[in-house]
Amino acid sequence: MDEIQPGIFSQNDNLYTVNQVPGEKVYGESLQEIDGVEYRAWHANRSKVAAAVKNGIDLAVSQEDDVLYLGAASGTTVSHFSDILTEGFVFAVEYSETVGRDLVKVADKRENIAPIIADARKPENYSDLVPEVDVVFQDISQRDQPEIFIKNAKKFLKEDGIGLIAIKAQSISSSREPEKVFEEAKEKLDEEFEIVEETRLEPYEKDHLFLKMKLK
Amino acid sequence: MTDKTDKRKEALERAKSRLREEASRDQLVIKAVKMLDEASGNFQDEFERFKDWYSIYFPELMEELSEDEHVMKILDKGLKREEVKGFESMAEESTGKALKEEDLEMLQRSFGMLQKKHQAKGELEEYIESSMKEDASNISTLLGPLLAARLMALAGSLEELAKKPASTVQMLGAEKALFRYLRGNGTPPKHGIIFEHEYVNTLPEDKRGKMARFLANKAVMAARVDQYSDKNKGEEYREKAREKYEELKEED
Repeated sequence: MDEIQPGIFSQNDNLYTVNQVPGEKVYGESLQEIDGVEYRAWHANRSKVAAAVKNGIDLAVSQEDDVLYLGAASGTTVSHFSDILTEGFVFAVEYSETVGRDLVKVADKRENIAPIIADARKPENYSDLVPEVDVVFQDISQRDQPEIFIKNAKKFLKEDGIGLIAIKAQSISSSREPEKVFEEAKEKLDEEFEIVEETRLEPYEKDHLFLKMKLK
Repeated sequence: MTDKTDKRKEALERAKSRLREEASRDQLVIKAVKMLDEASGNFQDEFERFKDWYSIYFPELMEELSEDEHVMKILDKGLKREEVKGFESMAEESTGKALKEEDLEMLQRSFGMLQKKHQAKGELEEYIESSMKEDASNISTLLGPLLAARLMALAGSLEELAKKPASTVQMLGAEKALFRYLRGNGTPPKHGIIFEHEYVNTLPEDKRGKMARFLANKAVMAARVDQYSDKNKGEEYREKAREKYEELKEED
């Protein structure tokens, strides 16, 4: 096992995080014990963050950081953040109650996940639950995705914090060219952020763009 | 750290109590209408199968009756040819196969199963109608409770429906055709599920788009009244829709 980024390990081209709840799987991923440490496989085709790491993005997340995660869904990727942030917290916002239920289940077992069932368009509704954070990550398939991201980052992200975003072209416009959709999204984000790294998520996800940003 | 531990605890509590809140009426109605549509489809298939089976024994009756509802009623008391009320002479002349007692019995039991399903469908409809009248009376008055519930189901909730532009509501249920058109193939669809409304589907083809647009406009307004106020506008909207319908029908 090689630690390629803080808390993220690689072996035979597969990514792993150290399971903070040994013996427990979150979504059927495989577990592997090496020298008394249990690793959880982190599949690039199931997690856009894992795909971004595979494609060379340096997340710049360290183990004592706090992360605001928008679009947490059932908490599969959230659980890997929970593994990585041994000293930090992940504040996980999800709108849908159906998948939010799974998220709550995951959060029940992991003491550094704060599940928030709310609309990320209205950060004022959860501002009392979220402190200033080091990282804002967003994976929300919504047309106004960049706007939602900016709203949250302005409210919660530390001045020197990192913004990470996965943009799905299809959910912004199904008829226009992905390239054009990405350009437009980047222009919007450009007003508040400097884009420091970017990658497409092929071959793991089709027509997705992943950006790493800093506040201007 | 402890501050964040507290925040996490509070978040977890709040998320759980939010999940446990009483189910909202529109979410329940949406599940019910999906169940009804699924049940109706299945019922239709099974009923066809039954008629095919029963035709071995009494083909003349199945040829005579075209309405499924009618078949259900006529056979309500039993399947025996000579006991089917009002068709005694047809039974006497029937060239259908003779059936052994046990064969007819199985047929009868299968019919009994269909009767139960038919009744359950009716109960679902009543439940949807009364729930819609309570929770979304204006749009129900305009479109009928079942179609209104189907639109709600496609939008996701009453609130989502109320927030949608009328042009989107006009297309709900026609996504496949709409996106095919947006990708550059085919013609734009004129209506989605709103086609089920009699004001749309009884007009000549070239008028349906206009009517669907008008009706979708009123439907969204009605949904907004239902979601955000407690006014009574349904009748007024329905009257306007009727006028539009008459107008389009008379045009040439």
